[in-house]
Amino acid sequence: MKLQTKVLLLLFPLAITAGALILILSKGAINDVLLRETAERGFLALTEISPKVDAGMRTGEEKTLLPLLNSAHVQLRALYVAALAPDGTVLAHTNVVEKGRIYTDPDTRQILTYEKPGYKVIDSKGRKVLDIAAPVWAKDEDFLLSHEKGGKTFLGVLRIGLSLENVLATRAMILRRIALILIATGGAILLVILLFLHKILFPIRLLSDSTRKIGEGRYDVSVPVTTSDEIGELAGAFNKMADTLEKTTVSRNKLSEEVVERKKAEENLLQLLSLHHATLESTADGILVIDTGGKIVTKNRKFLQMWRIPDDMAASEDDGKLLAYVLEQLTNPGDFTAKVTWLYTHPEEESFDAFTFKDGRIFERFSLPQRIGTRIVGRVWNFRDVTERRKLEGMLLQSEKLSAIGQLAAGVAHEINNPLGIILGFAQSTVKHLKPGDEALALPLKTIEREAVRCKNLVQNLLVFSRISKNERFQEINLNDAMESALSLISAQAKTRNVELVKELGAGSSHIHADKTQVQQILINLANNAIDAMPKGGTLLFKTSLSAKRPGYVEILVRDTGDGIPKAMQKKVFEPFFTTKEVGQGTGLGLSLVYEIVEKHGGSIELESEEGKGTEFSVHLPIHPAAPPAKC
Amino acid sequence: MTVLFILLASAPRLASGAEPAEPAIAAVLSSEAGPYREALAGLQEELGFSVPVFSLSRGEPKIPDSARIVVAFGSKAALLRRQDRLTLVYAMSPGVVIKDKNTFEVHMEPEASVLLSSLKKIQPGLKKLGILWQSPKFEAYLLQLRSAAAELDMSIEDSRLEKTAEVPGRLRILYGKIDAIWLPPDPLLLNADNLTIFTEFSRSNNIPFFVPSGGLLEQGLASVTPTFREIGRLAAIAARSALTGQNQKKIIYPTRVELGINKAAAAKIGLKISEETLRQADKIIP
Repeated sequence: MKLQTKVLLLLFPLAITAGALILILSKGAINDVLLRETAERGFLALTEISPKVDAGMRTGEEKTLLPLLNSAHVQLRALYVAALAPDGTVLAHTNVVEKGRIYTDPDTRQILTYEKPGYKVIDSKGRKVLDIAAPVWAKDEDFLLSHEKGGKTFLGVLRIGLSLENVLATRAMILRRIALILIATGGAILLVILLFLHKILFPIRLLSDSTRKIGEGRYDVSVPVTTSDEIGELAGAFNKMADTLEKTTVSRNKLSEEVVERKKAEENLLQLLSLHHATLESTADGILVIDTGGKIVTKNRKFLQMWRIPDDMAASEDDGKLLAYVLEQLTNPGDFTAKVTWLYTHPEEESFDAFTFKDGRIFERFSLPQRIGTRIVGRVWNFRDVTERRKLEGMLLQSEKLSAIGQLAAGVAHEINNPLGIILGFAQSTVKHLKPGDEALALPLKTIEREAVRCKNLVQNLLVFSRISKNERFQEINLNDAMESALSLISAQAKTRNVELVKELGAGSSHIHADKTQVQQILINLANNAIDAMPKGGTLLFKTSLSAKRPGYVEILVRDTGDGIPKAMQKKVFEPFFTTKEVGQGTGLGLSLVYEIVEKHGGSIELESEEGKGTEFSVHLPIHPAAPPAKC
Repeated sequence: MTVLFILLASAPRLASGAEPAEPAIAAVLSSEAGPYREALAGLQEELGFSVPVFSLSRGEPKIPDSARIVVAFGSKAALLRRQDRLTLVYAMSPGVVIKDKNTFEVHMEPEASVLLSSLKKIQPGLKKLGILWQSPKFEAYLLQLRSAAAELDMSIEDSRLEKTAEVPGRLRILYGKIDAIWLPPDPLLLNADNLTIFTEFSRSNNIPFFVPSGGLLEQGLASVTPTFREIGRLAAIAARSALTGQNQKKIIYPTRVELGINKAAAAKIGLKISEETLRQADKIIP
């Protein structure tokens, strides 16, 4: 709120209050003056007629009194003029009807006690009336002089009623004029005060305007110094300040440009930080940044996930504890720390190595120094989980090996098959032609025939192994039916070997796209191995189900309660010709054949075995035809 | 000024020969007072020619020999000794009674029915009209008033005074019995003191007070009176009739009246006067 307004708000109520007080006081004073003046006129008239009413008052003659009363009535334009006897009896009255009445009202009783003229304002027929009365004494006594009634003859009272309408109108008129004068005077005073304030405030307004301009960055301002008082001094000081500011302060535009550039740089930085953060978090590798003092600068979530670092540990920022936790997981922590230590002493070097976790995971580690310009400020470590890749690489190697062996076996079998057929043919023919008594020839010949048959079976197996891809017959089959059919072939053998067959055939896993014969071959080979692994009998479980691990696949689980496979051998069981059976008991082609069939179907086979407890083969086969492999 | 105007206005008639070569009518005024002059104007206006005019304030009148009719305005003029051959028509002489066969009088009081019906217009509720009177001459008029009042379903409550001083007492007697009071143009009764008494009686007791002249309207509620010009006109008619020997009434009452209303007085006593009556009024004190 402006100062001028404040002064107005302060002075206006004060002026109103003062005016109202003056009017109230004036009203009382004017009332008194006007009533007294009116009463004086009444007293004067009564003084004039009172000497003449002596006789009339004594005798009570109306004809004597009435003309006198009428003259006063006309002279004063009175409402009434009356002469009252001491007992209140109306001796004469300008309203002739009143004659003879006796007034006993309080006002009349009061005026009959008057020792000297007096007046009073009364209400008469709804009007304000000035009731003036003067006592009348016997003529030989002085009128209007105050005397005790004792010793004087009291003749009565002369009474005049004067209308106060004119008095009230006059009073109202005077009050109106006073009010007008007050308003005019008050207005004039307020105007003078406002003009005075305006004069005083004008240089302050100039100062205010100039201050605002400086606030807007315009320093080339000055205010005129028109007075030598405090305001003039303030104006001078302001000019000096503005001059100093102009010389020492950067211009607003320049500042604005700098602010804009700074904001732009901040935005760019934010953009870079955002990009950095997004990149850091979107990479599939774990990233760790260490400063030159070995303290962790930053790390991404992937890093924490890969190293399985608990949230509370990550939040604690306790680098020592974190390092211990990391080393604890490794099979060879010494190599890990040795590499780190070496890199501290060779900060310029890049590094690449791999290390193995106790749980079998394999991480590759790559690092390079972090530079600002040419200065090395830290090192960025990149960790990549290559466990699956390594596993796939192994599987690929195995597959290639099998393929080579298959081709070799096929060539060998083809070359051997013909001479073997001739040997077996002659052997069988000879055996057929043996006669009683040829017992000396019978044993060698039958042995040749038996071993030739065994070799032929081996060759047949090799030929089957090599021709899998040539005889494929993929179609929609019922897996459970294939399972039942295969198990019926081995049920007699199982029973003989005291092995209990248990089937858990899942309803939702019945139909797959596969070669039924090959699938049955998988099951029979796995069953034969399992039965061989339980020489003292046991339980053999066959279970089919939709794979929980691999959606779109069925899982065939074959679990035995045999001796189990030593861990060192587990990697070799799928290799051709690898067998733990005694010579002549196995060809070493069963599991490699299974592996080959599963591969051809686009599936996978995994082995879990624990010595003394048993072995479990888990075969995953796709429900629908697998997409043809991309050609490189 | 008014006289000069009337004289000038009558000049064409003089030129046309309407005025007799020897004047047969002369006028005598008690004084040069305005009302007499106004009545004289009415006389000459009605006659259509100028007549010799004599004012007693200028001395003894010398009535021309040719004159056969004298029209006197005012009591002094009416009571002036005259030759027997002259017929007298007098007016504006309320206290004068001349018993002579050759005299005709034009009264100031309006014709009774005209008066009462006019008062009724002003105060429709008027039933009892109070009248104080003193002059014996008024008695005949009172009879007419009573007769007219009966026809208008009114009554007259009158009281004849022996002395003027009896006014207050008689008013007290009438108080409570009348609806209004009318003061006749009775010279014995009409003075300033009595007028004040009547006025105060009316104002203090809310009783309408009808005054006998428009000039007294400020003291009362209303006036129903003929104009002085009308009086002069009636005097001219009487003089012309006398000159031609036509039979006519010895006493003539005006029928054309002028209505005056004091609205302030009406408001004071709480009387509401209809708008129609106010429109008909010739003079209104607001």
